[in-house]
Amino acid sequence: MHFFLALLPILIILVLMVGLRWGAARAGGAGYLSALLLALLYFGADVRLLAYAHTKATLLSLDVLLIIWAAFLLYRVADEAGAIRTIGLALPHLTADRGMQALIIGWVFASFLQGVGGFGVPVAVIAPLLVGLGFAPLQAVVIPSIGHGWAVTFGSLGSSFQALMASSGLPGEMLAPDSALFLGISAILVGFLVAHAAGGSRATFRLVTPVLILALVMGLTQYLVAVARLWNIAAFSGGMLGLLVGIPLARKYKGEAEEREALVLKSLAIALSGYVILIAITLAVQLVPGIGKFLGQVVIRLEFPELVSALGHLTPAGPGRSIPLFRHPGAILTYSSIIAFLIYKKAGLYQPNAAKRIIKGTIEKVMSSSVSIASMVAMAVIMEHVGMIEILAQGLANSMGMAFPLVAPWIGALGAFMTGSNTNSNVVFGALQVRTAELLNYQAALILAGQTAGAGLASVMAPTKIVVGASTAGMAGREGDVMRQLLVYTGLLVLLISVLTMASVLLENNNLWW
Amino acid sequence: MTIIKWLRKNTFQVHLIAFLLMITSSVLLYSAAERGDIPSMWLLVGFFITGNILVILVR
Repeated sequence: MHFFLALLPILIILVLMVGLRWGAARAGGAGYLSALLLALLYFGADVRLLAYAHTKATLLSLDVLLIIWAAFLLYRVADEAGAIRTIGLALPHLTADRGMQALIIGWVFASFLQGVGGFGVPVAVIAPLLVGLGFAPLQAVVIPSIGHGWAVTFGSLGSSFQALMASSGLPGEMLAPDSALFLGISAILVGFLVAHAAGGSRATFRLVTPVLILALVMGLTQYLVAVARLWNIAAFSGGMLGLLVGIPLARKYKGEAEEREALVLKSLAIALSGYVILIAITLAVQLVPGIGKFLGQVVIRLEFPELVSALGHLTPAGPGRSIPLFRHPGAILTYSSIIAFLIYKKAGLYQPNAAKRIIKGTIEKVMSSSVSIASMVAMAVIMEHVGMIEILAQGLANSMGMAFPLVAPWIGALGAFMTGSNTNSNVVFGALQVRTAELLNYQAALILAGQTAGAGLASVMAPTKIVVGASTAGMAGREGDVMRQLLVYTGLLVLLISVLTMASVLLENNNLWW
Repeated sequence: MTIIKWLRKNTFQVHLIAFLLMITSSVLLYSAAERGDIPSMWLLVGFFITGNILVILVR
């Protein structure tokens, strides 16, 4: 009975989103209300506990939302200037080989877009581009959908990873290596699946070399950048380096040449400048101690007392999430957006009133996800404070036992499917995965790597994303076809993460890990 | 009925109001909890709940 009631808010979200097709914001609100009622009526919460839990939840939400808001702002700054279109139009110039086009545009460029933007942008931008190049609409949606999944966790300038840190309470240094390793390995399979979606088994075998080269470059770059504590630009750096390596590589697979407009390198350089600025500022803040120290002086931080529910669940005293206001990744993204805006403006790329459209577009786009994150984080924090997460973790540990590492990525995948995002899945399940890992004596970082990798890879088949992708490729009403094809590809990817998590746990427990 | 229709036609505005209700009430909840002001805590939790109910009413 305890277990079922503790599970109820999560079940409510699942049923409302998958069964009744509610949006994440509505379902999150219902999940929050059910968690609050259960906490008050059954799990022994008093109003003081709820008051502190709500404040903690808001700090966690702001930590994630600052990045989401600023990441979308930077994307809108570039998009309004036509920079995204310029980069997208430059890529088909490189090769007329269908398989190679799918790899460069549907995998590498999609990963780059996920790194800087996210929020369904890769599929929305690339699907029409691929249709224009002659791909079937179904292929045009499926290729970028699979192609960007491996870059979701460290994409959107690190917002999902930030959510993983916030919900688990573990530092990024501990979480980044395993997460980046699993996702880097999955990038190899992603490359082959993209080639398969574009041209079947023949294309898959023909493109073994470029797939391996690109996967190695992107996966290794993401890993090294994430391990260097620069997780907000890890996927973006992987995608950027993938483009730099992919461009000369694509020229080796030219295929049947077609007449196209001449590529204007100057326009391409200006289009990319906004993102080069982001790299420069991020590196300066992280690597120059004076700058980091100066910007890190203003910190939002609150102390919380020990809290005990009427059923005896204890939450120890301690600080909530600290937010260094001017050094936060969200602040760095905002500085980059302002400088990028000035560069694009100087280059004459904006129509009148561009700034107004950018700000209005950003606020309109992020509001719904802001509400859903605020509700879902509040739900998760309340559940944690009254011991509901503990009960779920105990139940999972008892029923799964040794097989839990195999299941952990599927829990993450389910969370991403039902909430539509890797970030939300990490928020809802992060603490549960940590507690279950602790009860079973598994290394939490490995289980969380499975959680976030499974969630990132499966987030591409969330109904909301499929609807956006299908509509941009002229496939509205045929979302079921997209879902069926993605189900097979995504299933294989999550299965890979499941095996990797289990193997890593076994190696770790037997001290065989290098 | 008319109010619900209005809410559904103005999704963005409703989300904005709901979000502001949630954020401001959470911030104020901390100081109410520090003071031990129980009626204020209930009132502010009520604001947070109202924000979520508004979101649920929007399609």
